[in-house]
Amino acid sequence: MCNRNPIQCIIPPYVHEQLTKSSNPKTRARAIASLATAAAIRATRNVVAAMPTLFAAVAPTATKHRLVYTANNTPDLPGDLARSEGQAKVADVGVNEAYDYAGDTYDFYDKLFARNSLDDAGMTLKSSVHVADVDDTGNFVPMNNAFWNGEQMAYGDGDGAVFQRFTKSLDVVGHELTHGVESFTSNLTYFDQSGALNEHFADVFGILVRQWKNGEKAASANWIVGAEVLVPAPTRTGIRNMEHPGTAFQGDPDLGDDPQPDHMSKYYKGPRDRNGVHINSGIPNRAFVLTAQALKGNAWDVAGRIWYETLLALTPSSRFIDCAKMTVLIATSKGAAAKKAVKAAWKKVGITV
Amino acid sequence: MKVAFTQSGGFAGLVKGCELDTASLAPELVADLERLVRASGLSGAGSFLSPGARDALQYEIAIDDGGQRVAVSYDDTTLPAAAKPLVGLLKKHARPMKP
Repeated sequence: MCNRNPIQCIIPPYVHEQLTKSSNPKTRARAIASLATAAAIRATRNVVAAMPTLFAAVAPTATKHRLVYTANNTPDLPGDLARSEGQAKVADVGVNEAYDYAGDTYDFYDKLFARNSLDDAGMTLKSSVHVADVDDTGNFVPMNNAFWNGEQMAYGDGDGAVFQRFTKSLDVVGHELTHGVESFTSNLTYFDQSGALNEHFADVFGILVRQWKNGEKAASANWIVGAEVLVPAPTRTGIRNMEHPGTAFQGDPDLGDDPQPDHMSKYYKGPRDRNGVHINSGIPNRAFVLTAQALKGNAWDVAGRIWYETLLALTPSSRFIDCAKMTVLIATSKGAAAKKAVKAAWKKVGITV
Repeated sequence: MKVAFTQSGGFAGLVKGCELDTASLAPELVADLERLVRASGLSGAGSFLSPGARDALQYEIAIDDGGQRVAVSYDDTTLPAAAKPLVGLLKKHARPMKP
């Protein structure tokens, strides 16, 4: 019986293992990518289910509790504590941004969904700023990234040529913290379609935190993720465009062309990026925006609630069709207009429920 | 020596890569590349991706120096410290590519 990912099952693992010995570097790299993703699935199955409870640090007050560290331009996490809950602003702008935006994200989940932090039990929101990378001479250079390591957020300052401080963007901070929420809820496996859904929910709630904070209505809202973290240039508007996936950057010498599809007919089937978790998320992202625009008003009121309840209901192996079906099911309880809007939105991106 | 490198993932999900062949590189770069490959300690074939990290950059590195072959995958949270300068060099040469 095949108990591996269906795609991985088409080519047996021993063939990939043999291909890793190929004399052609490209063939080897592809084989390794395939093995990598299969290994990631196995490892994820075994470990991730246990991780959130292992890593959760309950706040002393079991309510909003933020700790912001500075990695002091090194790769070492968490670094030195720079500001903790209730303390006044400090001189370091990045520390204050991480503190304030983590607070906005906490408030968003608390006020809209009565969720008490990532684990709904007051888990401390831990962030490190000024996280560095290593260059070819062994020196530390600002990291061109932000990530969630399973326990905390890590933000780089960007190289100043393409990327700026990742804490500059509220939707980036909301995105990273939502990865934490996901690890305590559906825990979508970070590979292939479930991984693209993992990225999708992080984008949805990341941008909703910003729209909620700024009072942006769905009809006139900005659906561009991470605009503030890019150094402006005519070839780039942001990192992702949820309304028009695939258009955030074009012909950019450093970013290339935005690879996100906006419809199932353009679905990415390759092995990169854990089978396209940041690529294929464009498809459900567009479905969410179409739903929010059809329902008018604030995207977080109805569309956001449907998606939040869906996030709680999905399982680690859920695929796009499972997500679509669940959103329709949940929308039914919000009225006929909501159900119709959700079904129509999924249909426009090539998924019929 | 031939080195093939692909970076993917990260918050931005960019796919970038390069292929360096010492047969066609400037002598200074050949020396740097060979030194950093030796210092990296990378060997064999395998995948070492964190199951819990999200938005970490992923690196695929394939090295062929005629005798020894290496084909490994890491991400930012698992990449050995000794291999970071090599990845730093490869990132410098990486250009956007179709995923």
